[in-house]
Amino acid sequence: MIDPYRILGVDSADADETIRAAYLAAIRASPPERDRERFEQVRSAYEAIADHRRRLAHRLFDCSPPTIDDLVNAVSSDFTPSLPSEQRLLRFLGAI
Amino acid sequence: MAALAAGRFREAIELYKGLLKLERRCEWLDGLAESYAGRAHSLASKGMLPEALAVWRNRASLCGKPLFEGPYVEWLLRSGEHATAMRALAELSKQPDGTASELEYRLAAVTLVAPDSALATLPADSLLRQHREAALAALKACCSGDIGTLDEHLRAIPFRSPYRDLRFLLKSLLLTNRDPVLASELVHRVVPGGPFERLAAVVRAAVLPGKRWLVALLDLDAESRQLLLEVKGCPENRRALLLSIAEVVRRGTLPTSAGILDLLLPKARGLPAVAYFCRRLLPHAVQRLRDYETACGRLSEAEAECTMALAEGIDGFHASARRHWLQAVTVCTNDGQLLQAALILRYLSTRQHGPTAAETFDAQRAAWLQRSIELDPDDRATHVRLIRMLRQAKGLKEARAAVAVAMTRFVDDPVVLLEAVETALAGNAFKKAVTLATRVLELDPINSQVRALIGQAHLAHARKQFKARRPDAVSKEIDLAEKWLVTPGERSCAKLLRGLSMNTPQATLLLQEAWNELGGELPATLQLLLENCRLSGQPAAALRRAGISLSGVPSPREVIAAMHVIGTVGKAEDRFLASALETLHAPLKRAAQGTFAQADLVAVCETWLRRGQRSLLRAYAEAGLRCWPELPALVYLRASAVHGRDAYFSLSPAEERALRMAAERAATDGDQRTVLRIRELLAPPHEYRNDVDDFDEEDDLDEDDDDQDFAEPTFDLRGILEMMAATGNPAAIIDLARGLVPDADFRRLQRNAGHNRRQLAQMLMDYLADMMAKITGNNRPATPEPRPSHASAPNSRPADEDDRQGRLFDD
Repeated sequence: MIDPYRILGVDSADADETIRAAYLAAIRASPPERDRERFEQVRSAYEAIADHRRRLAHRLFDCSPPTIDDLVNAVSSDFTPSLPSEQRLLRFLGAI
Repeated sequence: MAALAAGRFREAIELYKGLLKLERRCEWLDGLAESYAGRAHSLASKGMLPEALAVWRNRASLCGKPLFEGPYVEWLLRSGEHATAMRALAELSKQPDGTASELEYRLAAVTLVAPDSALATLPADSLLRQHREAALAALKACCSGDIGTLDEHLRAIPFRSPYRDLRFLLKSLLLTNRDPVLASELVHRVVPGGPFERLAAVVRAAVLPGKRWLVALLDLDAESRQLLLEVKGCPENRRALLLSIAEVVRRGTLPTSAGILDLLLPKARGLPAVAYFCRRLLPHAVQRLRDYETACGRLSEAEAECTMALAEGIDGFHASARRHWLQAVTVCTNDGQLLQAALILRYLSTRQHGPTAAETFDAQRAAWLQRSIELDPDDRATHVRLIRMLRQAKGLKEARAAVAVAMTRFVDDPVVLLEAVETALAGNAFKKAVTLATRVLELDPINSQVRALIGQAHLAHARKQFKARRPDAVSKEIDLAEKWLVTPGERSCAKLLRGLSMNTPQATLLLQEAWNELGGELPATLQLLLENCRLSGQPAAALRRAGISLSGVPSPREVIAAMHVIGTVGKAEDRFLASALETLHAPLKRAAQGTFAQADLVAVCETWLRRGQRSLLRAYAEAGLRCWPELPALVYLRASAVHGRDAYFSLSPAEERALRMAAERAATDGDQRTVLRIRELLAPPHEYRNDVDDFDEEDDLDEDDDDQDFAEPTFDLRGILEMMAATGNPAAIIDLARGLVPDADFRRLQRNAGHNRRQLAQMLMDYLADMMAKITGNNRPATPEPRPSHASAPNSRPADEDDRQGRLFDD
């Protein structure tokens, strides 16, 4: 269950153009001569969700087994990282 | 000492006290001091700082050790006794041995949280006091995310300051989410074990890439974990779940799908990403469907059918999966989800055979594709697939209809137009093909494929005119073809056709010229014979005119070139190829003795296998086995050549053994293709398996009248099950039995077998055998008999009872 949306960093509701832009950015970041594996991953991900028809097919038929990354992503994809407050940090430094 | 070493400090203290009452030895005094220190540390780690301080004071008073050493001052500060701590620090700072600066460094973190008044007792030149303000300001800037101000304040903290670790640590913390690579570089410059070590450990974990921070999370204490989770943005209500997932990450193996759902479903409510993940997991653990619906709401009817279909497919129950998919199509169509229905039909049509150009025809699949086009007419790829499928199945009328439908939707689409050209060519409508191809060329002027197609269309038309005895038209068509054909090979083929189509000395010269241009005697002769077959000519006459003798032995290079020619011959021309190869059979067989490279020889054998040339395949495979006696691919190819599709019945025990050993070697070499091919060769022919599948799919057995349904197929069913067991195909057995065994019993057996499909298959066979015995009154043993050996029954696999009869009469 390698999630193509996670690989491309897009949402299932995004438009074709957004997904294509994310795909192009991803392959620019990982060209095949630098990182073949990542490039293949990005390409497969794009092929799976490039247009509405493929996205729907992916939703309907993909039953590949889940990976640990998928599990972690399902639980943590909506985390919004933040810095601790000053008081919180001081309390932490002062504690045993 | 043993108690001290084991961490039993209280016991060690009592024992040392007892010893010291006997004699005041220095080593026992040190032992007591060590025991007190251990006890104090143990209490402090539990947050019992006043008790730890009391024990430390006992250590000083009873053992004569200095009070202000070790962690004493830090504990004073942490327990709120700031004044005492600072007095102690002030006293120590008067000592010239550097103890004070070391202590100041260790107290840097806790000094930040001490009240200002407590620091007033420190000397004015104390670094701890001098740089505290800058350190606090930097900390404030870091927490507010202001990198400019942070840099400014950090510059005020010099390298000799007790707060020096903050210079890297705070910047790293600030950059954790902005620039993890730089943050990682910075935090690794903080010396481990310093006063800010707990914060450094949190930041080190936070900057780890991917999911590795989860593993580091587990190594932190509870307070540090909370801070890391805050930094990562994990909401409080999900922290327990995340810690469970961190344990999974550390183990590196996922629990079962059901286990994951058990973990996630209680928390899935209100978390769309988790709910979506759970829904995607459902086909792997469909027994949790009810739990899912309780947590995340009911699935729609279509979604439920799709989930069940995927689940059945994963479990290997393909017939049942198909039923669910078709039910989903009905539901989706009724709900107006036409695209979804169309996609399911397309999926069904590709499940057994990939969407390749050379896919085999199946009326059911064609019907599904046609229906999918009705539901979603905008998918060009499906139109093209259907056209190809119909054309290759010789359903030209249907293919033309499909082309017409596609062209109404995709008027100026070169891909559809090309299919129209191919379909016109397949129907010998050459003029129409040329017209369509010219249109493609207008849309796509650099399309070399269509140029070649136009040229070939003219050549094909020339052949048609030749058969209609119109020599002028033949010449005209070849002239037209030559305008489009660009490669030397194609032009030589046109020349060959011109030479063969006339019987003049000039034409014969042309024939010989073309033959010389076609790259080697064997490939050129093959081309000539192919062209001659297309014109329905006599091979001997053509060979005589071209002055070709077949008495030589072609070289390996020529054989390989001939393979390239064979590769260009389409399926539609198989009979011409067979005829040409029949003429060339003797020289090709002689050429098998040549010195081929291993890969080339295997490629040649594969070509013969594809083209059904079993005699040539056998000659080449056996020649290859003489050079490489244990090459698995050649063992397989030879067995295929000798036995073909009847291998299951006709293989000798020695051949079967050789094949199994070859499969093992192939598996060791990682050659999965050969392993699968050998397995396929050793399995029963497809007819048997298809019978099983059809029976399962078509016979809608009613559970209430199982008895009547059982009575008829009893013997055949048992034979099929035994055969399946012999070939180690539990999925097929389960799939078949599912339609026959009442649902309640099936579920019971499924539960009893746990997740072991092989065991379930065995239990189902036992069950069915018992039922058959009850129905027919035949108390044969329930367990399947082993596959009969070839020695006892070489040619009659399923007829067990007949064999026994035979032996009876022999006796």
